[in-house]
Amino acid sequence: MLDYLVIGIFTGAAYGLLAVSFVLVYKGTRIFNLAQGEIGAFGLYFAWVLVESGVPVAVAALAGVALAALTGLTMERLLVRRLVDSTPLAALAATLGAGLTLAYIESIVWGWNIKTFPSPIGTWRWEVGSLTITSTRVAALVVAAIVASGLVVFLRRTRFGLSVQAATSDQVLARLSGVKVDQVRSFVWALGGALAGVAAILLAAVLTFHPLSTTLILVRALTAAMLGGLTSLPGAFVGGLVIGVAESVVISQTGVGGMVDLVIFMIMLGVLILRPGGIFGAQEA
Amino acid sequence: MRRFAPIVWLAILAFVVASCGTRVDRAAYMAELKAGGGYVDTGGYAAGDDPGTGVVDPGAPIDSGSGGGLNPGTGPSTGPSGQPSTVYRGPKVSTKIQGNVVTVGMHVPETGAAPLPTNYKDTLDAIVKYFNTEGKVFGRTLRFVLEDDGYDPQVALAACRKLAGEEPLYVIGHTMPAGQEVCARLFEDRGIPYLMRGTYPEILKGRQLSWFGTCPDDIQGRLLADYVLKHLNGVGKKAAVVFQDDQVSSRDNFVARIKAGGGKIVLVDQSVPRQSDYAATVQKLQDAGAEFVLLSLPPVDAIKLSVQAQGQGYHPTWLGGGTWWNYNMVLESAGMALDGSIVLSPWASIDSAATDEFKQVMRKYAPDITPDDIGLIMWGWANLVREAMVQAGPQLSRDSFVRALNKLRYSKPYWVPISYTATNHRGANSVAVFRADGQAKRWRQISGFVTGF
Repeated sequence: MLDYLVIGIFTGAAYGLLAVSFVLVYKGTRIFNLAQGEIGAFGLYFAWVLVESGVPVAVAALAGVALAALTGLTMERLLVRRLVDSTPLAALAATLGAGLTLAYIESIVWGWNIKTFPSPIGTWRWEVGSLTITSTRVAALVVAAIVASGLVVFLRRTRFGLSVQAATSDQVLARLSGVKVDQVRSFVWALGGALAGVAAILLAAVLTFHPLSTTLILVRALTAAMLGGLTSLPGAFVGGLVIGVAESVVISQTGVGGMVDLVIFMIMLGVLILRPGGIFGAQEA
Repeated sequence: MRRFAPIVWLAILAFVVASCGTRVDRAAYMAELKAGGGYVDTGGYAAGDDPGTGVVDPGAPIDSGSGGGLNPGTGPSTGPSGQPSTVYRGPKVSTKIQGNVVTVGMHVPETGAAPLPTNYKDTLDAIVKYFNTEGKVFGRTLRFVLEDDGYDPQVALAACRKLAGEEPLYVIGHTMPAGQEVCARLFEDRGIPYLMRGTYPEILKGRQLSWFGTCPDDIQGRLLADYVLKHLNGVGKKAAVVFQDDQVSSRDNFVARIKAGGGKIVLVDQSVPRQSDYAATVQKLQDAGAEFVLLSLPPVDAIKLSVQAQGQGYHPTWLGGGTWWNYNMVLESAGMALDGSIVLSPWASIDSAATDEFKQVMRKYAPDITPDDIGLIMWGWANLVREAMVQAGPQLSRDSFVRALNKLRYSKPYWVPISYTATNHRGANSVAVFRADGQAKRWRQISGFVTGF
């Protein structure tokens, strides 16, 4: 059982990383961004093209993250600014459309075939008893933990981070206080895109990828974000770990397909009913 | 209003899940089909049916001239497995004589869990150009209409409805079993002949207008087990199965045969379509010590699982049936993760001399395209039905086409031998064996078409 707990933590860290990027955008703009997975995937595909062209993996990965940030920024400029005064449902539909557009661009340019991405940090692994711990999973865990805690510090301790929080809470008051709300929003989307790019690249190194594959994982990440109350970055990360462990343990205990999804959605329903604000919902940032 | 926000998000999440992939409940489909008419239970599949007796040495090298020991006459499928009923309740098949241009429908997955590279259309164009130039049947030309079925039953049904609207002489389907099942029902109702890859035999039950063009899964499950036991020294060794919900006949027959033959089944595990992470499944296989693992999965999931297993340092002998993931593009993605895998195949290796005729046609009609195994599949299907059109004679109609198919004997070096009768639409009961060369990312053919091991 211990093996499966460890596997679950590693898997959950990747879900958590994507969830953190999702929560960051939600906190910054109150938009439920269903395109988050494909923004990251867009950067991933770019990194993959560079690797195929002979560019070193680490350099390609950084370039991919940069493109994901640019994609997030572009989406904010072209789409999100026009949706500021619209209903949440309209914004949601727009991000769903944007995500699917990105996915189909990926499919047309690079096809639906499954692709693999080499690990940016090598392919070493440890054998611990019957358990094999791989470098990519360790990387996902470490990067996710660093990013989540770094973001918390950034949002709570820096002037710009406080501007982000102010803009989120009350845009009018924030403007009157001298906060450049548009600039903050652009920054949040670019950072969210970069984080999604990191998550997509780390996930691809472990799981392989194809158009919409990151969106499929986003469903798990969204559940993790909800466990964290949609606003808590540590909550989203811990939510990812909970989902990952639940998935791993259920798979280890049953041979029935679909049981994992059932259990995950039951966990989510349980949290929504018993703690509607999520596990960490009361504590923002 | 904010109190309802979580419920709204939940509903949206459910929508996203639904849009990302459809879970297939085969039992529900079968129940619906049965209730919907046009489904006649004729006794069904008998688990003990033997696939046949004509055995060719699986270790025999491929004969460049004959395609590796083909024997089209050996052991046509026996027993009542999934045979059409003699009581036919479907619509009358049209006797209207076809015009100078014959429309052929085809649906394959261009998207979903088993996506074909879209350049298969270029190959098909070349094949059609060849037929319409050198291979006309009684002066008629062919027009292929293609639809993407998304490897999803709902998308497949929509695709097949569109194809039916084109008034085709017949339709070919090469996709997931549940997708073929809904299309088989539709075409039976519309009186349109439907040829599909061999999957679970129940699809054929009670249907007069459906035929398998490759070896069905129930036979393949047994053949794979026999291969493990006799050629991979599987007696006393541990085997496992990872399957999805619509491929149970191969799973059941593999498990039964392994157990009966002295092997051990240590794990039977069900995955869901497009499972995101296989780490725990791989750990289960490792913990169980499985040395042979049957992956009764579509290509995307077989690749994901094997790649993750490679990352976790686990590399058993992966096993697969023909038309599941025995495509070169699978090895292009998985590479060394599937190295050494053993799969069955209804077609010869694209690298063998058995496919020379196809390669010659491609050189002539599409010199810029490198012939691949996906193109070979198109070539195999197109020639199978062309043969039936020839047999149907100059008075070609759906009715005469059906009559011709019901007595067709099809034997080509690049395709599994097929033999139909009015009551046997399973057609093929033999397979070739491929072994994966992960380094070269190619399947290597290691036997001719055989009906047993």
